[in-house]
Amino acid sequence: MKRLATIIVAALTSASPAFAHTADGLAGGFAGGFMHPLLGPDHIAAMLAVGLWGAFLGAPAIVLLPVVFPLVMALGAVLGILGLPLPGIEIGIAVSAVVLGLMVALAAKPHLAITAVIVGAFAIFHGHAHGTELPDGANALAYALGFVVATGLLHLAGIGFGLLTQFPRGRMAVRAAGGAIAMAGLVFLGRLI
Amino acid sequence: MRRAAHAAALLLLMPDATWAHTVIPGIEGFPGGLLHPLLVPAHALTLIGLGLMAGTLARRTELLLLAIFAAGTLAAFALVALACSAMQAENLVLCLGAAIGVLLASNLAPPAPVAIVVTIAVAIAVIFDSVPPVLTISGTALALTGSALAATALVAAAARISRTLPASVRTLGIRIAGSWIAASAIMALALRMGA
Repeated sequence: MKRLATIIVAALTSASPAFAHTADGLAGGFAGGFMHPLLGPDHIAAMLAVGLWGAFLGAPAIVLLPVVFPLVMALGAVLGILGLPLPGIEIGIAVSAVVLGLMVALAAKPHLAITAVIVGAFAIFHGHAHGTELPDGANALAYALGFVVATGLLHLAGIGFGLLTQFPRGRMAVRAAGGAIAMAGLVFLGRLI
Repeated sequence: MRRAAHAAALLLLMPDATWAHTVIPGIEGFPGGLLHPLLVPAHALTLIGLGLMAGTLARRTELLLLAIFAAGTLAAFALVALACSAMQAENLVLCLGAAIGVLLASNLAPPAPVAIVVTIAVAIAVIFDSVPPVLTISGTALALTGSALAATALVAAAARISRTLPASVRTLGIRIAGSWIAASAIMALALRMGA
């Protein structure tokens, strides 16, 4: 009987590791993730260009690009998190600003599948860069959500500005913005080479 | 020896209460349970996704899913009371969130049986992942009651928002929200598996 009592007491008082997820740092995790894309001018330029290009292309690209980009970016992030190397990440990000900016500046309208492949390929680079910098911790999801939302809002900002293409002068302004993004991408690229 | 065997059996059947957690230290019981689905990002995202998905389906299916979700939380509650526990419940919540997000992003309305299975799975996974770190029956019951109520309310609210959005915003907004939910859940899962 005494042995039985000992076992029960031991069971009741034994502590297994707590995989706790508390609200501590939740806001910090989200804020950190949210600020991450906003603190990188190369990320900002490329994300705005995605939105501008989507608006320029109209339906269905205007819906497809901001939906596809975060999903493919997540796959790129998974590669980064799992430690799978991807060569030339920073160069790829800079090139994304150049190419996407040029697409807008030149009013390029390739087939939707080609557009998705171009944007998706660059999303891998952006995702990998974010993934390698994701913090390991309980609020990883808050961080991931923060930077996905910030990225998405940059797309939406690009789309919002891109809607000016409905007007002749607005169209010129959007193409000029694309040119500016491409120039900025060249500057980023020049710093890396 | 026989008693020792009984004791060992009791040990094996004990709920693994330490997968549990309080979201805000000091707030336990019913209020803690209420806050749990709202403040744990994996739960909130998945529940919002489920509600958005329900709101895109036919009105009757939406109501059926809400009823099934509430019943699913009660069933999970009963399973917890029977000393069942689930390892990796939060990962299951994230997997379900990712799947729901992909469905929303791709603008695919799942057939009713699939939606029902997903709804039951979310209800059970969320409740299993909401067991508080207390060993008292009353404390656990209160917290899980709060979690079940808040989770059901969150799903219902998201479904309501999804249904009442203007048509122009609805298609784009829900697809983008689904994309964000799926992307966040996939990255969080990868981080957990890579850690």
